[in-house]
Amino acid sequence: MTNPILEVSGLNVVFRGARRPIPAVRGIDLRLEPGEVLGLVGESGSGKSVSMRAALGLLPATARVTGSVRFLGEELLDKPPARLRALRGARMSMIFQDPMTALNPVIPIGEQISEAIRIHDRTVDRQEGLRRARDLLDLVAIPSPEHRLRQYPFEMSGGMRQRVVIAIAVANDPELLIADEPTTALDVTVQAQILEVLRRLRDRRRIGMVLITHDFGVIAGLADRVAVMYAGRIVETAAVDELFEHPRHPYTQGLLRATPHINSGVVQGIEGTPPSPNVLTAGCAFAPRCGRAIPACHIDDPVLRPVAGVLAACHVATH
Amino acid sequence: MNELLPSQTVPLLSVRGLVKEFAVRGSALLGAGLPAVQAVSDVSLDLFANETLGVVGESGDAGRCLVRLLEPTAGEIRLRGTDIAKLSPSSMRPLRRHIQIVFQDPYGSLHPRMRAADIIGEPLRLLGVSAAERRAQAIEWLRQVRLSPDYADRYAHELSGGQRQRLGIARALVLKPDVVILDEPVSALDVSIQAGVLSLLKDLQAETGVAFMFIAHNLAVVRNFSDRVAVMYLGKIVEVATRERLYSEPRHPYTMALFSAVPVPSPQQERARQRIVLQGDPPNPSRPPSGCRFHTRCWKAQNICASVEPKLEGQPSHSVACHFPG
Amino acid sequence: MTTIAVQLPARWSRPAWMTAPVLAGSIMVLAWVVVALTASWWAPHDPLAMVGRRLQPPSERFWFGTDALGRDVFSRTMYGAAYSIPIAVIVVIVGGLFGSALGALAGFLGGAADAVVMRAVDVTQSMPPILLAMAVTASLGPGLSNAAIAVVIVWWPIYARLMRAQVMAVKAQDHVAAAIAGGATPARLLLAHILPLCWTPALVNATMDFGQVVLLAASLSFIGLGALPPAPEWGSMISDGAVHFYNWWIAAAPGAAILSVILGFNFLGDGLRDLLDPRSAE
Repeated sequence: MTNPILEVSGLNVVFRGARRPIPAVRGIDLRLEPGEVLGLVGESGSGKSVSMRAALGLLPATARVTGSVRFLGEELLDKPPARLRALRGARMSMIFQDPMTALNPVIPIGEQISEAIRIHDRTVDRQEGLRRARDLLDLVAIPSPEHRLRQYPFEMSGGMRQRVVIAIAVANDPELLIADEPTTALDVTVQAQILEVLRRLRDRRRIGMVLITHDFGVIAGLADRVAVMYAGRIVETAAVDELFEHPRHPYTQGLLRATPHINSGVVQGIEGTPPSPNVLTAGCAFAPRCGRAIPACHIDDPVLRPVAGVLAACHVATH
Repeated sequence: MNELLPSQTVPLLSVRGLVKEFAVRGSALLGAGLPAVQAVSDVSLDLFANETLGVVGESGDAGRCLVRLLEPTAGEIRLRGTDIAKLSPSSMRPLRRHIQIVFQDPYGSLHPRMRAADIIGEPLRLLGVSAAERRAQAIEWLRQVRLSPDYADRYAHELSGGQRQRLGIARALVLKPDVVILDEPVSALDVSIQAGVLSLLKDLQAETGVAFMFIAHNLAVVRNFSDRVAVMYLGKIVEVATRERLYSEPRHPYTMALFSAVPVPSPQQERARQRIVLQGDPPNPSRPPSGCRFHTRCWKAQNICASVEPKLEGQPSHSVACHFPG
Repeated sequence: MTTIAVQLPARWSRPAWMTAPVLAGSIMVLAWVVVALTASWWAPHDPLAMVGRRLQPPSERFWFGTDALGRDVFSRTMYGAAYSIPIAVIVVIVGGLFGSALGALAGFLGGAADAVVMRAVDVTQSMPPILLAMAVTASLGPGLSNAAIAVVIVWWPIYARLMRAQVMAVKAQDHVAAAIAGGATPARLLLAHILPLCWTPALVNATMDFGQVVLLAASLSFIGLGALPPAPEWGSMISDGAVHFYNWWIAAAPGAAILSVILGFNFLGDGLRDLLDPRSAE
């Protein structure tokens, strides 16, 4: 039986706010198998970004993280910073929305990729580093890689920079790649190219990926399984086909109805607004906006339970 | 017979040959002219009452030229018969009531220290309306955009993104303009909120007969919200059609590539798709390709495409700028 | 069964703005302001009169001792506040307003106006402040009011730069574009939409500047270009005291006074900056 790449149990993240603590993530469980792409979908305030940053130890000191995050069986939350640094960039990587701030503007990209390799493997010399960098540029479908090695980030377009960032992230053959809204800031044609690169990585290198996004179209094109988050909790997890065809949780249903479809164009919003993290009330966080809430929904916060082959946190869906 | 044209034949806004150039700083060579980026390049379009023209593929520079937040480099913008493209700021001011704009960023587009009612009522100063009347109209508009009048004395930071956009919409409509430029009005909002704001805009259009120019990147949203659609590439309009025609038979290769690239929220469709993968990246806007600007990435390109720039040709319900339209 | 509502005394909780620096700074500054205003009522001796033997060290009768002319150093130090504090206030307010106004216009109008103002700023700032102040007072003649004019001339450029930068930053924001699109006149734009968001850096800077102005004015007096003797201005007192080095109290008292004024204003400025700087949204 293979070890899951990532196993999250009861992850809780609370920020120390100006007046009172702010719960950003309220007890989530996740599992990522090797070579699988898990889509983490949610809107602003859902906690999707915060939870993955917490897993990698990237949150500021004002955040209190509890629970368990196991990477290839190893618990991460109690590890010293040095151990996490050794893992990050080598066995597990994260890429973000804005490629420009992830790259050093005054160093050619060939060297930046090469450095990412040599930091984790002292035996690699400069020549070898550049050679591997060139191969990585090929992997992420950047044309004329030799020429590109000497270029600076400002000489490249946004899409190309994001591909360089991906190359750096996978330079050391990590088992886990977390992509936080990797295409949101990009032109739609460039977005398609980046998603194609990520598909290639999954197929050729069997990297396990967590894809954080708010866009269901991106999920449909890349994810194998999907977890939907709302107000710091996971409200539904399912295989991607099942989620789109038979969404069980009212929020997932509402979100799919609200997503514009190029072939039909008819959309319907969800009334109300997502709750602010510091005014959470008892019961299900979605109940105030849910068209199908029953009295139990306002009192008792539902947990993820199996229903028809998926997991959903909803009283109405699972009774 | 023209299909599905808007009811009025006299456009509220008529743009001909609009050009907007930005000088590229610090790159002048001795003796050579300053290279310029043509953000808007020879754009012509009409806007009619009670209709929405969707504009896909570009940033909001064209829209900002139309409301004279940017100075057009060349071209004509006819609003109620007057060309506003070259008016001085003081001559333009009284005409501003006829054309307004809603911005993309709900956080930066509202004054942080003004209350909601004051923000909405501010443009009414242009008409010399009294303070009491400004407030009264502002509260009425709060209701119109489906916000409770209780919000009249709130500050922007006390409102959510969707509520702020509604405020921005109220502010744009308070002068009862003929035309409103919507510069990506929902792109910064959560998906579950977008639909509500868009349906509000549709209802307000039905009530007031205002014309919208809807600038957006998301083809799916544009489909939901436009009557006609113009597709732009590197500052030029490459295809204009009614919504039905554009979405059923796109004819310009760039439009087809856009459709191919848009992710569809359906896993089966995504797996089954034949994608058109464009070569390379968008070219440098300060050195656009010769001839047809798209030819460097186009799979149909022939010699003529590199030398002769195609003109927008066809019928009012569907025109294309391409030597080999699909 | 009836219940009686009891009004508990409200527990006083420290307001957010009352941090330790603000408290300490306010107390020190306030104390000196009070001294400046009231010294003539309670100072033990006439600051100009010879009331004791020369060069006496601090004693019960003369708390800070006497100077070379037998005057009470304590009374002179207290009276000195009435020179230094008003100078600081007037210079910072006049220089600050003048500089801010020019800077705001430069940032708002751009073009030629901006170029002219900025060149004036460049020229003024290219000279070391003390030399420029010396040059102005030398041509106007010594005296405290001329020294004040000199310091204003030295001081306004920093406010011009601050204000100009803020105005240009705010001008580029969307809500200003919205106001333009809504038909706001340039005057309305500047006064209602731009300036209200621009003054906080200038205010914070001003609070810190009070101390610096006190120092510059005292320096001018120290070299004889500011207050004329026998005025008990702190800078001239230090100048007198420098000659009598081993009678340390003559220079130490005014020196300590300057130190505490600057410290007080700096604490206040620091505290104000922490309060007024953009904080994360609620």
